[in-house]
Amino acid sequence: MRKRIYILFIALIFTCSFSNAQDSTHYYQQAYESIDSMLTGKTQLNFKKAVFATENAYLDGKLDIKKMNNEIETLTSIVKAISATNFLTYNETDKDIVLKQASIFKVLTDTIPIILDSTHVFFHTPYSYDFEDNWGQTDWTKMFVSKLLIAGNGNCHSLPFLYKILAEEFQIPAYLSFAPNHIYIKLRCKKTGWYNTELTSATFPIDAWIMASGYVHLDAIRNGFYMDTLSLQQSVAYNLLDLAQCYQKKFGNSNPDFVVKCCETVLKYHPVNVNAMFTKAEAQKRLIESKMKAKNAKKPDELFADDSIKAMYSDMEQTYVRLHQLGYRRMPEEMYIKWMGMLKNESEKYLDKKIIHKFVNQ
Amino acid sequence: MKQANTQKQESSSPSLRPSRRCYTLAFFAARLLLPWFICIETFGQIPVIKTPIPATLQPNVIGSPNQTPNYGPTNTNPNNQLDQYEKDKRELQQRNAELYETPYNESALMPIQYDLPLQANPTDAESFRKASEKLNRMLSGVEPMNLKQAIFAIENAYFGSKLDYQKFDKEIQDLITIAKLKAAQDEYNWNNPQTRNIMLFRVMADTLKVKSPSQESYITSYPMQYDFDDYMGKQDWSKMFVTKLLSSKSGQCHSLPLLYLILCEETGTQANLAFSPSHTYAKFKDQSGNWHNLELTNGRIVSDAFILGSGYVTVEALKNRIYMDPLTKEQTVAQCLADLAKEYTKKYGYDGFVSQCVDTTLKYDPTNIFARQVKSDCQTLRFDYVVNQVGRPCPEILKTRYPKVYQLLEERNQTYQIIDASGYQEMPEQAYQDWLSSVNKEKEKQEHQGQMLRLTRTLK
Repeated sequence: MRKRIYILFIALIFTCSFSNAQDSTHYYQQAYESIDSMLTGKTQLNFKKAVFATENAYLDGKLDIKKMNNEIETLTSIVKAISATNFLTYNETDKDIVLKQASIFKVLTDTIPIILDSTHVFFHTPYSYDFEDNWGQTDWTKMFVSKLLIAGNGNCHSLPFLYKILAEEFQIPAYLSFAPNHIYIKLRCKKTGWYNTELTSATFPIDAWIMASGYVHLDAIRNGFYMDTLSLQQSVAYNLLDLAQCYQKKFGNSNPDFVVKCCETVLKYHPVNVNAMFTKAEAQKRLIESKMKAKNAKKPDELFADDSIKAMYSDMEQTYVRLHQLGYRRMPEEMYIKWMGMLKNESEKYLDKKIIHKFVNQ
Repeated sequence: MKQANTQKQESSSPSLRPSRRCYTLAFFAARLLLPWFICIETFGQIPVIKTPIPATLQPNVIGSPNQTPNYGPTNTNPNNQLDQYEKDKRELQQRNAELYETPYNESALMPIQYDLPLQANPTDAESFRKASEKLNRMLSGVEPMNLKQAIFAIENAYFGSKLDYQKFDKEIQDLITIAKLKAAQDEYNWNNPQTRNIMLFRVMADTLKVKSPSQESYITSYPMQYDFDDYMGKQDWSKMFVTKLLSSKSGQCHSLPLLYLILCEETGTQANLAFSPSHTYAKFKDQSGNWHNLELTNGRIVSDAFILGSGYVTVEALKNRIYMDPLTKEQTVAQCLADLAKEYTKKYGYDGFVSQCVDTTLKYDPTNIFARQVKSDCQTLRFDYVVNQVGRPCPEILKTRYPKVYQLLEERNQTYQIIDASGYQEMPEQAYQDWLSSVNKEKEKQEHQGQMLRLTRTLK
């Protein structure tokens, strides 16, 4: 009898721990499927849903999505109220869109007084840049829109994502765009053409600033690695890369299959997604390394008896070569911070005067 | 005889001017009647009534020699004696005005002229025609592409075929000789194309002292200077010329890179032209496949970051390859043709010859933004000329009554749209000067020295 209880107990522990691990990966699988169904057209493309699905997976299904939706709803109502004041001196045919875009920018970067009744005024404070651990190296949730909504500060990942979500709520265009280790918003208006919106410093920098980081190779611009706009589908697909990175953060590098799968799906819809190419190659590299370790091999060639590994190795090699040829360069963190500082220190040189002077009424 | 004395007339009889935005039937009636009244009132005068100009049709002409003609009513007072200078000036104004204006009463009778009138008489423009034919032969492959000959042809055209080719060629050969002697003296291998790239750059950008082989004397060759005076050729277009650079040893961002390209072509080494806002420079690829930018106005090798630092290079411009992309030889010769068109406008004005040239350029190089701009100028003036003949109605009327004229407007707007979508941004002159002088900053100096050192190391 006692023995039986023992066995039962041990079995119970096993199943518990087993189901825990399975539950966690289960969230990732769920998020993957939800995003993939948007990409294949089974469900409608929805950037907000894709973002929260990804974050929910990392938080083991504990993200209060309803609360987040409420937060977004509050923001949209403030944006609506601000755009009703018609604070821009802009009179082209795309006036309504530009006004909405400017209102979103204002809500994210400015203090907005909201009069509740005759005696109470509520101030909606701007979202600021979180200088601590700005690439989420120690705490991955620093990258999250949910963290931004709760804490009121974020980074170059969460801020443009929130902008994109709000733009989506109003069904107006806003494009995510990549720079080395950076994401920003690109918009277009009839009066001045394309312009950049940088939410981390609440400014409108010119293209020269992004190129001035020194890590943007000319070819990388020409072939669309950097500074190109992402379509809605590509933006939704990008969440799969985030999901892959969440997965890596959570489970380490032991199981790169899921990571590779995510990256491949991203690349299917966005073949020049430089981050997906890089993450995929890194995952493959680590997989081969771990296999070499297991077999005590000194060179990767020793594993080539297995055709799948041989194919993977050459795929990885080709990706690295292609990345370099197409102009991909990695940017060290201190250079990134220095580059961000240029917008403040050399603002005269790098700010878009057309946008600032021509139609922002200040 | 008609004399345009618009200022005077406007102040003395403002009541004669119909309202600008009057498009009603009454206006058309008035248009028919008014001249008669004027004729009666101002006995013996031949008036021309100002036609209404809708605001939307105001042309925006860049660099047009003929300013938008003044349509004010003209007045002749035979008793008023003008001195010769004033008279000449007015005659010229009048001639320009006439080019774009047909008197109202003829418009109804005469068929609409859809082409701009010829600006030069055929014998004067013969040299231009010849040059354009030569370039066309090169582009279509009948004649081998030769930049030296192409450039000489277009510059010779401007001077009515009076330039001396032998002299031009000798000056080029002299520069090559010095570069070659210097290379031999420093024990660099001239057969290495990279040596030629570097030494030809140095002969233009450096002071070189070489021993003459025949005599026992030294020859000192001085670098080409940047000519700050009228460097955009606003007063004198020949400031842009390679022949001017060779004779005066000073040039600007148009002639300097072209001379370098000619030198490279003569010695059989590869170098390319590249555009940046309001600027051109030379590029070459070294043995390891890396590109180098030669800023010949300052004699420096510069980084891409320097060129981007102007702040006027947009992502769209790079993606559309209008800037910083090395031009092929074909594209460079096509650019010469666009230069020829620009010369023609500077000397005579805009007509069918200009649009023919730039259309050919764009056929061979659709990314050429310079040719695209000249084309837009052409289209603007042409539309302006044609729409004047039908009395400048508003676009809606134009669309229904003169669909062919309306099409010209559409075509012009299309060109504007292409230019806007290409990512082109106009660079103010001050910004250009500031940017160009920033090459003297310490960072750029170091960049130059570093690259020069790395390149010369491989020459022996």
